[in-house]
Amino acid sequence: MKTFLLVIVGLSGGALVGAGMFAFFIALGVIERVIDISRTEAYRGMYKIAILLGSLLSTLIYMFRFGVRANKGWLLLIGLPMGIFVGMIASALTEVLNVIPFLSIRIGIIKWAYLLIIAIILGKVLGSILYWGLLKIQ
Amino acid sequence: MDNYIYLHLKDHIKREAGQDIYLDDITELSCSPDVRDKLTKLVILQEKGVGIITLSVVEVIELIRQFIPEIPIISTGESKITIHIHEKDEYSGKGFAGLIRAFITSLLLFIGSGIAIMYFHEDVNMHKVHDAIYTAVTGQEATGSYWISIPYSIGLGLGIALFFGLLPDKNKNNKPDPLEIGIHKYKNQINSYLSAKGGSKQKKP
Repeated sequence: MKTFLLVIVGLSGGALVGAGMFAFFIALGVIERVIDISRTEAYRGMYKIAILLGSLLSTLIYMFRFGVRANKGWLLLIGLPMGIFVGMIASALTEVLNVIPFLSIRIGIIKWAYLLIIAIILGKVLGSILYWGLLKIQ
Repeated sequence: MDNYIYLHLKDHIKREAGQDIYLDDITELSCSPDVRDKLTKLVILQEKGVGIITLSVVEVIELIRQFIPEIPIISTGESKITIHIHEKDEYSGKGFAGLIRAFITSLLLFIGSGIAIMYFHEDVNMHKVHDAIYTAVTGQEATGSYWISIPYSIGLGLGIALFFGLLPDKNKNNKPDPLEIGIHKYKNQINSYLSAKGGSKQKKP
């Protein structure tokens, strides 16, 4: 009985988190944006499967310590897409919250709106570098 | 002969301060040539200071009828128009002052987004995630590895550039990027609010 209950709780929890995560990406418009940039709308079915497999694999890694013994160099290949995705999520969040349009119209610098984005990019990269302790400011 | 004035009121217009607004500026007209010649010179608003004015189509028709009473008018456009009279370059940020404002805002965003990404990493326990991936790939335990955090940091910048379409693109389609859409939406919201509120900043003529 206990096991049955646990299975039910785990199953519903997982289903909701999965659906919520996907809804979050959709609401932010990240996936549409990626499809738009790469001009591959015909393959959108493939992207669903990719997202599904990615979520599944990372769950296996995180929950069950699933893994391989490969060269460290592979990490470079994984780290870059990780960063790109988080960067896009962060931009989408800023965009949903209307931060840059608000600032550039309020302060009256629409002409310089892209400068603001470049400032954000530099800020995020520097913030990330500092967070990972890659740079020590004496 | 079809002797009507067809009047299509525009949704909103923007004008720099210091010029009169003519009927021609706020409407599209279809009527006989001699009537048109008279009407295009009709001053709807005298030159006034900066502000936002809402005119309804009825007010416009009223003005035309004072001028030419005999011809029936048919409205085909919006029921009101928002006229936004602004200083030169109110929004666009041209000139030195705009550059200074842009610089200060950039500094704000630069520092703010740097802090925000650190908050985010701490909040979602990104260290643990990176360690888990390190272990999954290499099979060794790790506490913080540059092998993953360096490409991650570069990717972070790339992702933002990609999202806002800053990367050079050979066959770039002329679609607007999210920022352009965002600015457009935000301006529209302001305009629709002002038009609904009736433009409180200045009295109607």
